Amino acid sequence: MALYLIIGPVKISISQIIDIFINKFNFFQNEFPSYNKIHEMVLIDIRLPRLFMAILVGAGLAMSGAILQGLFRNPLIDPGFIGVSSGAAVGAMIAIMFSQFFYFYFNASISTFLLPILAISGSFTTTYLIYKMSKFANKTNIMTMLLSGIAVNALSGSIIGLFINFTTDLELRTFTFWTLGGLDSADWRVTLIASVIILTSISIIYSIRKKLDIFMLGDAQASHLGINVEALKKTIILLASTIVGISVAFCGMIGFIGLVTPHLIRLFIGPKHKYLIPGSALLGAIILIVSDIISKTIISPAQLPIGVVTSLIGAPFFIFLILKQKNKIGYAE
Amino acid sequence: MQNKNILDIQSLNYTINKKVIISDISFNVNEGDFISIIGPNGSGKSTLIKLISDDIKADSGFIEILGKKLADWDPIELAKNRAILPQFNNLSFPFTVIDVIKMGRYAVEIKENENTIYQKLLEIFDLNDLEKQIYTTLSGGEKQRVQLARVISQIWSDSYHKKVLFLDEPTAFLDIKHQLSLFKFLKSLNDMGLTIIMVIHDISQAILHSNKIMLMKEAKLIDYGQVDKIINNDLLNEVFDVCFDIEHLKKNQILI
Repeated sequence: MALYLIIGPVKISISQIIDIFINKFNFFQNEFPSYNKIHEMVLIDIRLPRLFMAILVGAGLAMSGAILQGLFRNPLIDPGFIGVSSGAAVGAMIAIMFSQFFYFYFNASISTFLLPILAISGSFTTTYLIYKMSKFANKTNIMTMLLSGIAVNALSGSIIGLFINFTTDLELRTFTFWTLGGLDSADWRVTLIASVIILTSISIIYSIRKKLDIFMLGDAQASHLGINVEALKKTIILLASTIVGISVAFCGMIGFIGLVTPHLIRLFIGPKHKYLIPGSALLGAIILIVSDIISKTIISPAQLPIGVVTSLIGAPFFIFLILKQKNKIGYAE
Repeated sequence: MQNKNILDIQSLNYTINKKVIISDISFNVNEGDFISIIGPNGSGKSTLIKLISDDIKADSGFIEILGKKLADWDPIELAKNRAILPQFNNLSFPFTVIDVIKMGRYAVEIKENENTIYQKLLEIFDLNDLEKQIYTTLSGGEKQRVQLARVISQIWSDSYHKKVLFLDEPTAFLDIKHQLSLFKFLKSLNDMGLTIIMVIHDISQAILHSNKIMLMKEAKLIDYGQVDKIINNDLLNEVFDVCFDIEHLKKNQILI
């Protein structure tokens, strides 16, 4: 974490960081500070919120991956399967295409949040559609949900394709970079909103850990044991789409964390949600922090989109794990 | 307490795509009964269990369990008194055997001597050596024994009065030794007051272990009553469409 605060186009040393914190919180006033205003601004207003955002989004994405893999009872499920990302992409596309128009009619403060708001509305709309489609006779059919997820994702893809025909090169470039993800939008305001929503969701998820374990036995088996299965499914979908929705809205699409992290925790610690949830959260946060450090340093002073980094590291690592571990744990055929 | 109604089923109907799966079935189960449901493939045995378990909703009819309508039960309260082993159990996440068994105790509020219960269950189902094994790596028979242990742990207590256990083919995948020890154990629970209703294909074991038999064919309840009343050549031949020799079946049971 300290490394995260040091690295970047503006070099700040550890002693400077300590000095800034000491002065900021009025422990004592140093008359000859070892840093200047730029150091302070970069640390307090850029790197710190960005660090918190990385922790929140990394933990959130990993955990929603964990509970969605539980919902589908399939360890290869990614948050994308319930349509959150594709819906958000359509919302983002609209926001980017019509930004001129919105700037004209609304004031600037609303316009900053235009993309996040449209993205999160898009993600909720698609998730809700998929959930409704998979309802049959008052029960949610998980198989139908998977299929309608694939269909809605394809539909969103074609809508985006259609929009791309009407975009300018600059809009397309903005959109492409948005889809690759990034933590640049993380100021204190954004981080505060994200932290309230993500931390609440995380604590709810941890409080239903036992139910999530039992749900793995099967719909019928779980309800025989006294669990309201439909309510639990609704909770999982709502929590996962909220976390992923807010992450995607502010940070774009950051791939692979939701898929790989819970998988790793299950391989090394086991599938019990008591450990899977905090474990995934911790590892997800670490992975995203490391990825962001890499994305900021590898082509410094420019930076690589973070989604590129997570996928670039995540995918080969995942393949390596599958090949190495495929005989160790027999996931049912 | 004698002859108290544990289960009251009236004119149950269930159809899928105009195919009748359960047709106008009514019956009562008394406390302490050990009932075997037998019948050819596709006669509706498992569907009947699913309807009583509330896995699927009947088109019409009435199900009362332990004196209360099925829909009026609080899920946790019902789970304390009624356990079900479904025909198919798919668990594709690598939980350990003991973790799976512990899940059975979800509805139990007062938890004391839990470890003693788990140790007893591991012993009863011959799972001592598998306690820390990963469920997904087990054989079919071992998985079935874990699921049985989980289901029994759900209703494990000092008294089994007003408790009911549904088993859909409990002997599936089990070798003969484990089949016999399972029935011995079920009989001991039944003696302590547990009401048991099971779907089973082995007619000689149905005769040997249960006190009542329910005979199903083509979505209908053909006959239901004391074993001696139901088991006769003509009725079995008609239902199963093969030639039975009851005397032979009964001799078989003595051999076991």
